[in-house]
Amino acid sequence: MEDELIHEQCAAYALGALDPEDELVFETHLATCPRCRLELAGLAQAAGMLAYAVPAAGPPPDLRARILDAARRERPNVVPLRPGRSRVTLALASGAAAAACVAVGLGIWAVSLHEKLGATTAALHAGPLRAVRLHGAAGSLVVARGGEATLVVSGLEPAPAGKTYEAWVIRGGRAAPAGLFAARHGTAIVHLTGRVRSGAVVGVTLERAGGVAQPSASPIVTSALT
Amino acid sequence: MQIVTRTTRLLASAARPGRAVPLSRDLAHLSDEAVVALVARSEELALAELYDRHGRAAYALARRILRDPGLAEDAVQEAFLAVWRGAARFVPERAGAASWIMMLVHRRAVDLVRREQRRRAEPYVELEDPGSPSAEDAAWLRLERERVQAALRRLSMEQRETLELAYFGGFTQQELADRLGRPLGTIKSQMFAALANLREILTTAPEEESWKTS
Repeated sequence: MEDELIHEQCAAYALGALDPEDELVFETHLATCPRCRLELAGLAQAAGMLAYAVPAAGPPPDLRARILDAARRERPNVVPLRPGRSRVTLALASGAAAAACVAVGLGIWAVSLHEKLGATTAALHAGPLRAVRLHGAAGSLVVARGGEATLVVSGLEPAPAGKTYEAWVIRGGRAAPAGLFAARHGTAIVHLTGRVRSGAVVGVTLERAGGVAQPSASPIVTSALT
Repeated sequence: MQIVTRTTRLLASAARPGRAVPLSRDLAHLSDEAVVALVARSEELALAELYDRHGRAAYALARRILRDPGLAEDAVQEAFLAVWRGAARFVPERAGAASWIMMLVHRRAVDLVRREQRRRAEPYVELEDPGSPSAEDAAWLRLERERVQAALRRLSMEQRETLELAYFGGFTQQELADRLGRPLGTIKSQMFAALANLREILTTAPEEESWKTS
C-alpha cells in the first residue's frame, strides 16, 4: 500500500514538484524499488525535454570563466586553462568536493538526498553501493564501499524530551554505538560512526539523552546487511 | 586511453605560456558521456567543453524559471560545479549526460525560485536575448525548441498547464492542487498522463536525434 502511494510520486519527482520532505522519502524509496527506477527513467527523460522549450537567452560571456575559475579552486591540481589566471571570483558552496569522494549515492535521481548527505548533487549509482530497506520504519540503510553507511529513516515520532534515538551496528552479538539523532523533522539522516559489514545488523533504540554504551531495549528499527 | 593521452597533451600545451588558443574545440568529436569521463579526471578543458555545449541551454532554462539574470547565472554555475564534483560517479547507461546536466540546472533553479519566492506564476514575457554564443549551437537549440513546443501544443490545456507550472514555475504538486483548486490525486494523475503523453509524442516524432551534437 505504501509502495503504491509512493509509486504515484514518480511524475512529480521527475518534474521536481515534490516538496523537500517528500522528495527525500521518495529517493530513499527509489533505492530499493527497481519498478520506480524504471518508470522514472522514462518520465524523467520527457521532463528533461521541457528544458529545451524555453525562449533563447545567452549567458554573459564571462560566466564560462567564472565557472572554470571556481572549479579550479576546488581542485587545485588542475592545470589552468590559461596561465597566470588565478583570480578568485565567486564564493563557492563549501566542503562538498572533498566529501564527494566518499559520497553515498543512490543514483542520478538522488539529488535531494545527496544534498542532505552533504555529499554531492551528482552521480549515478556506483556498483558497490547498496541500499537495504528498514524494518519498523520507512527508509533505507545505504552502505558504501568499505562499509561507510548512512541511515535514512522517516516517520519516527520525534524523540521525547530527555531522550534520544541511538543507532547501533550489531555484529557477532555485540552492539557498537553508531550515532544519536532526535528525528525532529520527520526524516532523519544519520551518518553511522561505525562501519557496516556483511552480516551486520543496524538497529535503532530510544535511549536517555546523551546516549548509552549498550542498548537498553530491543531495537525499534532494524536493517540487516546480508 | 588514446583520448586521455591526447587530452593530457592538450592540457600540457594549454599550460605553456603564450598559447591562448581556445583548445576545447579539440574535444568536439567526443560524445557528451566521453567528455564527462574526462571531467571526472579533473580535466578542466572537458568542463569547458561541456559548458560550450550545454551552457546556453542551461542558462535559458534557469533564466526562464528565475526571471533574473544574476540568479540564473548562480544556478548555472552551481549546476556545472555539481557536474565537476559528481562526474566521477556518472554512469552513462542510466541517462544521457545532457539530461543529467539539465536536471541539475533545473533543480538548482527551482531551489532558488522557491527560496526567493519570486513571482513565478505570472505570465512569462519572452525576452529574446541574443547573447554571445556560436551560431551553430543556437541552431540546434532552435530546432529542439520548436520540436518540444510543438509537442506541448498537442497536450490538453490542463495537462500543459500542470506541466508548465510544475517545471517552469517551480510549484510543488501540493501548491498546484491549492492553486488550481483540484484534488492532489488529480494533479498527480495529470502530471503522470502529461509526461507520458509528452514522451510518446517526442519519441515518435520523425526528426528524432537530429538535434544531437556530436
